[in-house]
Amino acid sequence: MRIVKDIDPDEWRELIELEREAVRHHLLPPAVATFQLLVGRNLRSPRLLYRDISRSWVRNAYIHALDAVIQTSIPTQYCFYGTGGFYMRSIDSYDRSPPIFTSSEDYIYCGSSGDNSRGPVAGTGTDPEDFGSWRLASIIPHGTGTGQMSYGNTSYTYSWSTSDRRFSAAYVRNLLNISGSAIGVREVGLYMLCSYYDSYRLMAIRDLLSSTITVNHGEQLQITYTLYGPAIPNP
Amino acid sequence: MLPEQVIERAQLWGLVIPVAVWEIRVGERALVFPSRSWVRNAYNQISQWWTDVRMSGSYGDGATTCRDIYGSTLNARSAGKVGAPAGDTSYGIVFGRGTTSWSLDDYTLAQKIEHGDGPNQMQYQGVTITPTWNVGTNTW
Repeated sequence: MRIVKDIDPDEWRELIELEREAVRHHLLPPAVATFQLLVGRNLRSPRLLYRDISRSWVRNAYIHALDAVIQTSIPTQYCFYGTGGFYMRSIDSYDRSPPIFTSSEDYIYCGSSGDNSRGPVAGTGTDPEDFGSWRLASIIPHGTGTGQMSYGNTSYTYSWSTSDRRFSAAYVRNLLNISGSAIGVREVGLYMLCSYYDSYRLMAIRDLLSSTITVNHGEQLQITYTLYGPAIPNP
Repeated sequence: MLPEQVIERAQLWGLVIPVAVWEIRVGERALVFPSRSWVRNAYNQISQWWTDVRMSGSYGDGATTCRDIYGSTLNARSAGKVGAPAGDTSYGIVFGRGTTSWSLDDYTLAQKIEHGDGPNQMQYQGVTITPTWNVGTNTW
């Protein structure tokens, strides 16, 4: 297996130390995320590995979390999407006003087979990472035609780390390329559900890859996003 | 590292740390303090909102279970709400006379001042929320 990119242990250590300092001050540390890509015909013995710290939660994710805490009506001057605005922008290019109404029965990051409006997604776009981005630059459509991949169901695993004292959630999805030719993946992201009405689909994270990951015909791309909750102080 | 330095360094990572400040005004006096006392309920709710994690179990380490102010437990991602109307002390800003020290597992004030005009009671007005955007610090 060729490792295209892996998490820099020094960077990860620095991030964890920063979290510990935040916990020491009883601050609420932010959620951090990592992502991993595996490519191969058999994902138990993949051909490629790409793994990195995600640094690209976008505006939608912050507004979503902030709104979950304060749930209030938004003054008129903040009713827009952008710097200083309190609106979110869904992947269908509509600006959405909080409050959001996802039920706790909804698994907001889990897309079912064929649904690339929710869960881990991949694209071919090369736009730079941008805090204000609200969908992948060029998402790979679901399907078996040229430039398409078959999106599988999103599975999830939740865990609690006794040593790190925090929760994490890993979201895993396989994308199968049977389009007849290779597809070059340049961006990955995580889309989420954001409404009871099942109509708001928002991008929470977008990561631009430092190099193209080629998925040949007959191979699968497995995307894993692991989201870490804030480290919790000792009782 | 000072709290302000932690916040600045987190921003360099593209990460935002929620910060709370509380302020008390009595007559002409105003007291402003940074709040450093988030409790388990807040951590668990934030974990659930950011990561959508849910882990069953008794209230405590390893479970996302929360405990409400009446002592009952629940394990659900709930939307927060702090804009309590006048007279309602079940949510929003509340005051107390208790002196027990902070604990991660605090779920209610040690001795809340009740709404009313009797002894040791106070008239609770409605909570107003004013979202404000700070252009300088790029924060709400």
